[in-house]
Amino acid sequence: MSTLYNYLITVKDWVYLLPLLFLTQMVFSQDVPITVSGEEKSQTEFFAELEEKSGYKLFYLKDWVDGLHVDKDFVDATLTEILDSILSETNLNYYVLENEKRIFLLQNGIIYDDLPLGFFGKQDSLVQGQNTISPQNAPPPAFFAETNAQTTDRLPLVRIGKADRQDLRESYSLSGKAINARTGEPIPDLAIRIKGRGTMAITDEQGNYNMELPAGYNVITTSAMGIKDSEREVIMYNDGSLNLNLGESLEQLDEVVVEADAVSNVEEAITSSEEIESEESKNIPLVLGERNILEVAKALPGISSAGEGASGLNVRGGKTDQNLVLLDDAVIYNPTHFFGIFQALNPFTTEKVNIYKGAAPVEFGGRLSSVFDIETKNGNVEKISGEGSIGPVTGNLALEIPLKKEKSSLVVGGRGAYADWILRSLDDESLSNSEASFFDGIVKYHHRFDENSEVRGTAYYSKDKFSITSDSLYNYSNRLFSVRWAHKLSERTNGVLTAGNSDYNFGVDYESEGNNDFELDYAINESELKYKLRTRLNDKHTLDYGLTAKYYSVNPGSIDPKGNDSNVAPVDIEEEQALEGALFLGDEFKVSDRLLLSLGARYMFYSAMGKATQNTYEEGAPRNESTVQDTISYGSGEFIKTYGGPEARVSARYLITPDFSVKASFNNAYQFIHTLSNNTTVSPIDTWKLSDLNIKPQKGYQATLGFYKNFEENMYELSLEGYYKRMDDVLDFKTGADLLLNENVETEVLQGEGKAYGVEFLLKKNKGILNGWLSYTYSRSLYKFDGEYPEERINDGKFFPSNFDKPHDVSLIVNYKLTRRFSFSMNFAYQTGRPITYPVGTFRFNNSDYVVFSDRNKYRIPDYYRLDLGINIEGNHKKKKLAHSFITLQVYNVLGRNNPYSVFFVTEDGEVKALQSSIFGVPIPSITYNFKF
Amino acid sequence: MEGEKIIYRSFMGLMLIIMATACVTELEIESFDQKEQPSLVVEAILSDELKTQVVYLSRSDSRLDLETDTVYNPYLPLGINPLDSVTVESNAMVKVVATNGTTVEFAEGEKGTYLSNQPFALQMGVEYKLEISTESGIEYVSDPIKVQGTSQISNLYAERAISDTGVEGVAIFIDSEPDQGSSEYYRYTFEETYKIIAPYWVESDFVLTNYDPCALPVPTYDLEISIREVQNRVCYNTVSSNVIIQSSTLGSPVSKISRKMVRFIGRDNFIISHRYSILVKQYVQESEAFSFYETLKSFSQSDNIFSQVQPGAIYANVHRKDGIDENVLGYVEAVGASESRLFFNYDDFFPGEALPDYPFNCNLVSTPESHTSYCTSDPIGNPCPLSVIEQVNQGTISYYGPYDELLAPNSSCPGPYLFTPRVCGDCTLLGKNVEPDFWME
Repeated sequence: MSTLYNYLITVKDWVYLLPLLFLTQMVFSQDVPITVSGEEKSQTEFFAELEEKSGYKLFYLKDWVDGLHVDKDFVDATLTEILDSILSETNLNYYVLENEKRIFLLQNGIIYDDLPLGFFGKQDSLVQGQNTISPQNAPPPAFFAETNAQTTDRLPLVRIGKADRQDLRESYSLSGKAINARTGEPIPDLAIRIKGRGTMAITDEQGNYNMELPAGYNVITTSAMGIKDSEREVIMYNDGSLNLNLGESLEQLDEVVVEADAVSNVEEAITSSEEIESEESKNIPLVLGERNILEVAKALPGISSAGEGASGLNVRGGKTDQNLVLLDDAVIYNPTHFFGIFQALNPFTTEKVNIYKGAAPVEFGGRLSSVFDIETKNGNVEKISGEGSIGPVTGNLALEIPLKKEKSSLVVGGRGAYADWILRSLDDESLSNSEASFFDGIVKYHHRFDENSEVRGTAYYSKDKFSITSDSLYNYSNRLFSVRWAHKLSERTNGVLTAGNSDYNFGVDYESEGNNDFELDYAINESELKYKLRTRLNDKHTLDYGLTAKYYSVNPGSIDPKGNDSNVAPVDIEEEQALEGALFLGDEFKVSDRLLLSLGARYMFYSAMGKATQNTYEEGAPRNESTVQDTISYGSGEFIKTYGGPEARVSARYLITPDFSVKASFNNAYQFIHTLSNNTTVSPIDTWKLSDLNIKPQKGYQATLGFYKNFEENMYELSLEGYYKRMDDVLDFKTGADLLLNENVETEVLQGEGKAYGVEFLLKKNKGILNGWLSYTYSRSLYKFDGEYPEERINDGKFFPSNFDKPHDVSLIVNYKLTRRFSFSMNFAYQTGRPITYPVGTFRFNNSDYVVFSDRNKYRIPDYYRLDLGINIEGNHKKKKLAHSFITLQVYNVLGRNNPYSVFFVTEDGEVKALQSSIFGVPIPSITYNFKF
Repeated sequence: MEGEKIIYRSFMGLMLIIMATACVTELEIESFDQKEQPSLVVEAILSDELKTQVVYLSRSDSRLDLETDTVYNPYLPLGINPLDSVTVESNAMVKVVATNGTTVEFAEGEKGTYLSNQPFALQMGVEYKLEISTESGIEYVSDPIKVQGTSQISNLYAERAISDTGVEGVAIFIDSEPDQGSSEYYRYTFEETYKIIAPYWVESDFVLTNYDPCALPVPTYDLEISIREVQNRVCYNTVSSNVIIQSSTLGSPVSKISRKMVRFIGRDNFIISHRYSILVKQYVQESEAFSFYETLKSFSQSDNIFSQVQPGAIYANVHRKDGIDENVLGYVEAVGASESRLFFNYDDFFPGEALPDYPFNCNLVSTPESHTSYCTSDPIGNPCPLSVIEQVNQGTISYYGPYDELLAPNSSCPGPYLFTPRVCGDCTLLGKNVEPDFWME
């Protein structure tokens, strides 16, 4: 909707700008005043009269103009004024074909991709008097279809300068200013290229540019973030100038595109970042038709998970606790529902997620592997609008409510599952008696005071409740609040103040036949305050700097007997507190047109605080309960142990040609908070543990090198990126460790090192009827736990593959748009089976037979592959429809591949059996009905 | 645009055609690559008691059948049920070397069982190493082990109790007092001995001689009912514990053990039917040994699919002397040992109540004495169950008395005798017919 609104503004502005833009001889007859009376006429009659009086032929469908208010009188108005007036409150637009005296009415659905690029506000003004525009030579304005269509989106040809026999040169200079046609503001950082040559110019702060063009015929192209790409033919006769009036980029509908903007992957200094827009992910077929941007993220190179139904993401060989997942700046500890199968984010309120796999922007920190920065939409400030869906698992409704026109709005989203029935239909007997339900809700308020200041606040809550066995009921919930105030301090400096609070907790209610009923509770809460400033020092330097402070409080849990008969002993582990802070400074340093550096430094500080008691352990002995030397008590607020250190975030981009760059980066990071999980996958009952006297922070180092190339006017993006990563003091557990409610967790965990390396290949086709991407990753993820004592070693202290080490990973996502209303999509994934520890035999010991397990993760489960297909049917685009709808028909796992989720071993009748469990072993069809109004 | 009023329109529910399944299927374990070499398994509990110390050496097996020899399946005829065997490691040289210079050599007794040449006791404060040289010449050595402390069992007692799972029975508890050294980690094993009385035992039994099932026209044999020559009414069976029972006094100011339950026997368990005795051994362990057993125990517990213990290789404190990597299984430990024995009768806890059922369904049966010759050409089959002489020949029945319709009302082809499954009339199938030395009535 907002795009349409922008578009209409453009139309109006164009009308207003028209006389300024054209030289006097260029008066079109559409500007000749005419008088039309709109009384008591049908729409058709009105248009017939208009045709007669203006001499233009109008083309439209009768359906479109039904209900159009034509009962207005126009006296001495121009044709464009009349059309603007009567169409202003509709979805209709028009397009004038001046040479043929034809006017086409356009309905909104067509606008986006069929808009003639060269028409509205795109007329570039020539400032030098002797330049001439030769419309008769220029190709006629043509409809913009995709670049692969027959017509082009070129603007009229311009001739620059007057040939001077005394001054014939091989090249001439062209200068000018790039202006946003809608706002009239200069466009900085616009890339202007000469097609077929390596030359490129970038506009400065004021939108000015200057470049050398070879004499004669040239085609120049422009691209910038938020600005529609353009292309125009220029014939250079002499030095001259050309001002570029460029439109804002229009949203492309229905493309499965993961792109920030066309050339950003080549031009940005930051490496290994991805952006997924929620809207754009809607066609990708996923399980049960639920949109899931986290699942889409897994189709990108370097991001994977241990398996279907494993909620944690593993980014470049990192553990699942090494991802910083932010929802509107506040941490969300578990962004998934139902064992990770569904995202806990409302797809309709989610704008996009930015994923940083390498050196993340300097303002983020505290996790080793990645940052998932999820942003919620700003609400519509004009009118109430909404989106909803009904799928097999969830019902979802999101509303955008303007509170004050053009100032403030509210986004409200709610989603609930009726998933209980899925469990009931499961094959597994232990699951079919289970229950599961979840919901999430979000409210976002956004207020724009003026151009210099805006504020927004977000509140979010999600809850899951499920029972796997009849005697236990699990639940977990996320709650977060965040407030962000962005304001302009000076011409060059912006400030952003954010405050957030996040809470995650889970509980188990155990009620069985016996007398050991209990209730267990775990909670972690963190509050963060961050102030970030950005100063644009000059054309070469842009600084980002600020500070952040975070306070953690963890209630590691308590067990309380339930009921009077319970003879469970109550356990209450004391709370943990800690303070984490950071100072950061980053500089985006443009050394030259080709070389861009992003230099960042961050100093991390962490302190575990009292009130607490901590054990010290004997030196030279394995850390276990017998080697406790001393127990120290700390008072409230007392610093127990302080960690910290500098972090570097360095990346560099070098443009070899304007659409081919090489980038390298290095970063290191500290992480002070760890998950404890004695499971191979993230289960909701993972607990987070703060670093303390005995548990050191994790440290990570990563270096990357990548090559990025765009082809065919950014239609294709190709990238190849390699990384090498080391991690220190990552946590793993001793075999058979009991981590839940253990007072001395340090005796059960090991801290070791990890290394990961890989090569990621990504080919994307961003536009066209057929679009999508192909990614291939070769990667390894290895860990090593080599303590001094046997109990502190895993696999004899040698590197072994992690649970999520899947060397080969291929994803193919294809979207094919058959017509405007029908599109097909496909999602294919292949991964090497993940490693597993396997029983390899038995031995007799202590009068009993025991299973001999292989070395940790020595074997692999069968390979994983899956094909999903989807058909998206858009409702018709009739104007009178109250809501636009689309239906997605999807089949998940079309091939019915019984992909193992895990392989586990049970002892039955004295025999070890390997059992393979799979979550979705058959094709799963689904229908989702989506509507938008 | 603001003039345009669009109202949310509710819509009809959609028919959803959907099915989701999560399935658990069995995989063929053998389909995985299994090229693991059998590993040496070392088991030794060297104690501070003066006795002939024992070291067991065997090899791991690639089979994944965990059924142990001690399980008797009454539904299979005796001798047909294949018992698991262990590949023992024979002809190895075994010795224990102490840091104080003493060396004790071991000699192989039964295959795979190595006994010290003379009785000896480990001394506290002295480190020992076990050295093994296998037949193929590979030498292994253990990490140094040491007796950490001693603790004496002060009380061993049984009480009528209800288990965690709500079963009524007898619980056996132990109390112990630390003696010397540091004793924080305890492991318990036990040996239980119980008296078995065959319920359908009678003084006489079948004696079959000159049996030729292939003779024509009918099988030839001599079947006598004669007085038994061996005592097989009362037997005693001794079973060693095969579970890992551990306790730690860590964190408590005194390292004294009180009311540690080492065994719970449900009241339906036939082993306490007559007289029952348990010998509990307490071992004071080193912390490494304690954690080894703890881990081993965690692997043998069953899990559900959502919370598995991460398994992995756990290796013995024994490795190759030449430093080459080779996985050795098992464990060698030095313990401070203490033991105590307890006796009780069922009546002590459940006076006047019915005894637990005998572990086999003992019934009286009658079938024809003989059968048609195995070598007959007569095609007519025999509709009757196995004849007496066939079953006597297989050793599966015991004599009970002459046929009495009241005692065996369901016999389809009664013969002249009543008999019972052998285990019901002959206790030697379940135990030894000799009273153990320690037995006290």
